[in-house]
Amino acid sequence: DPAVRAVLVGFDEHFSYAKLCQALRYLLRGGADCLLVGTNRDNRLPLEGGAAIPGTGCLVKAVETAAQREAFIVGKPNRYMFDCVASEFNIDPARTIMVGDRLDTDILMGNSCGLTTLLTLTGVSTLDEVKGHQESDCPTRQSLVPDYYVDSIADLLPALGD
Amino acid sequence: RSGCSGGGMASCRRLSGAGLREVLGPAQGLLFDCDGVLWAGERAVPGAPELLERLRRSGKAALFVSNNSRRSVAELERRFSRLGFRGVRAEHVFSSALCSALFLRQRLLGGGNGNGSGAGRVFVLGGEGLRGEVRDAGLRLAGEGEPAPGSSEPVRAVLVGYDDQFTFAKLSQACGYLRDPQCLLVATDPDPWHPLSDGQRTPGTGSLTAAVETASGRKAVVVGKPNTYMFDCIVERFGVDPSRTLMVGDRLETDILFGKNCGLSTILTLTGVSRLEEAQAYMASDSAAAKDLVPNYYVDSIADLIPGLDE
Repeated sequence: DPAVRAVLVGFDEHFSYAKLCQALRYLLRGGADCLLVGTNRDNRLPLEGGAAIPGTGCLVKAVETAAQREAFIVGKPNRYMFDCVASEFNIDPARTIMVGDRLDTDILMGNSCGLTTLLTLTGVSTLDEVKGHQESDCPTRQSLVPDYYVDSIADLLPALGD
Repeated sequence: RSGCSGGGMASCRRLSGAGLREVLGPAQGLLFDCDGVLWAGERAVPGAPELLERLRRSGKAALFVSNNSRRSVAELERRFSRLGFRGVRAEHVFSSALCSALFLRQRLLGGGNGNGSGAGRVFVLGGEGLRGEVRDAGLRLAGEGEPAPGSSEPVRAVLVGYDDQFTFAKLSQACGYLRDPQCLLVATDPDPWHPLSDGQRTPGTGSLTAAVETASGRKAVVVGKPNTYMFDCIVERFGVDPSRTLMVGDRLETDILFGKNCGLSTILTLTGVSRLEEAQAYMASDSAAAKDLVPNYYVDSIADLIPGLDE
C-alpha cells in the first residue's frame, strides 16, 4: 500500500487497540516522514448530571505514549485555527473578541492570540475556576483568565443597536 | 569489588573475566526480567536455560520479575518448561498480573482471602490471564457493557493491563466508575510498547493507562517496574537480601531503574529492548534522573554469566 504520510487522531468512538497498533506501525515505518496530528486535546466531553465521555485528548495521549512522540495539535488552545481564520478574513486581533465556554481551550487561545476574551457561563467552565486562576501566582494559570464574562451570549443583545 | 549498590552513579562496565567472578561470587540470588532476557518471542536466548541450571547447581536463587500482564503465573510456568527452562515453578515467578491482584487484594480485602462480598468489584481492562489472577486473589470482576454504576455491587477499582481488546466503550465505562473518588485506578505496568519478533512494536499498558488518566483526570497507581511493589512481594515470599541480589534486565527505564529503586546492583543484557548507546547517553547526561537509568554492568547475553559460576 502507498506510503502513509500522516496519522490523524480525532474523536473516534470506535477507537480500538487494533487501530492504535496500526497507527504505531505507520509512525514507526514512516519516522519523520509520517506526521502525527491530533485534532484537539479535550480530555472529556461533559454530559448532563456530571457524567462525561472521553475526549479526543485521551486517544491522542494513547498514540503519543505508544509512539513516544508528540502530536501536532490543530485545535484550541493552539493557534493554528486562529491563523487559518485570520489569514482568510484579515482579522485585527485588537478589534476581535473570542467568545467561549471553556477556559483551557477557548479563553487560552484567545489570550495567546491577542484577542479580547469573553467567557460565557452556559457551558463547561465556572466562575469559581476563574477566581482560582486569578488568585494563583502561576503565569500559566493567569492566561486562562478571560477579560470579561456573561451568563449567556444572549446578554450581549442589549449592547447591539436595532 | 563485589556487587554492592551504594551511593554514586553506576558505571555500565562490561562484565567479563575476573569481574564476573567478583560480582557473581558473593551473590545469593538473581532476579531476572523475562522478555528480552530469557527469551525473545518463542525462542529461548541461546545459553539461557544452561545459565539457570548452573545457578541452581551453584546454590544461587533465580527469581523472575516481569511487567508482562498477559499471562497468569501458571501459564508462565508452562512457558518456561516449553522453552527449555527446567525447574522453574509458578511460585518463583512474579508477574505484574499476579502482583496487581495481590495489591488489589490488600487494598480491597485487607490482605485476607475473604469471599469478597462487600469488598466491591474490579473492572479489568485486560485479557484472561490477568482476569484469572484477579479472581484467584479472591476478587470479583465487573462485566463489560454493564448498566450504570450504582445498580449492583459497586466497582471499587479499575485495573488497566495489556488489553488488545481495548475499545472506546471500555474506556468510557472505566471513566464512569472512576467518577467515584473511592474507586482505585491501578495499572499493571508503565510500558509504552513491546517489541515483536518481526521488529514491529505493539502498544503497551502505558499507552492505555494514559488514555484512562486523561479521561478521568486521575493518576494511576502503577504496580510494575520501575516501582518497587513487586520487590515487596518477592521479599514477603522469599526474604531476599537486596545487598546480595542482582537484577538482570533488558530495559533501562523499567528493569535497571527498578534495581536502583530496590537497592540492587544491576546488569543490563543486550538481547532485548535497550541499546548500549542509550545507557551511555544516560551516563553522559547532566540530569540526576538519567543517572539512575545507568546499569552497574552489562553483558551481550545472559549466557555470558556462565563462566562466572563454579563448575
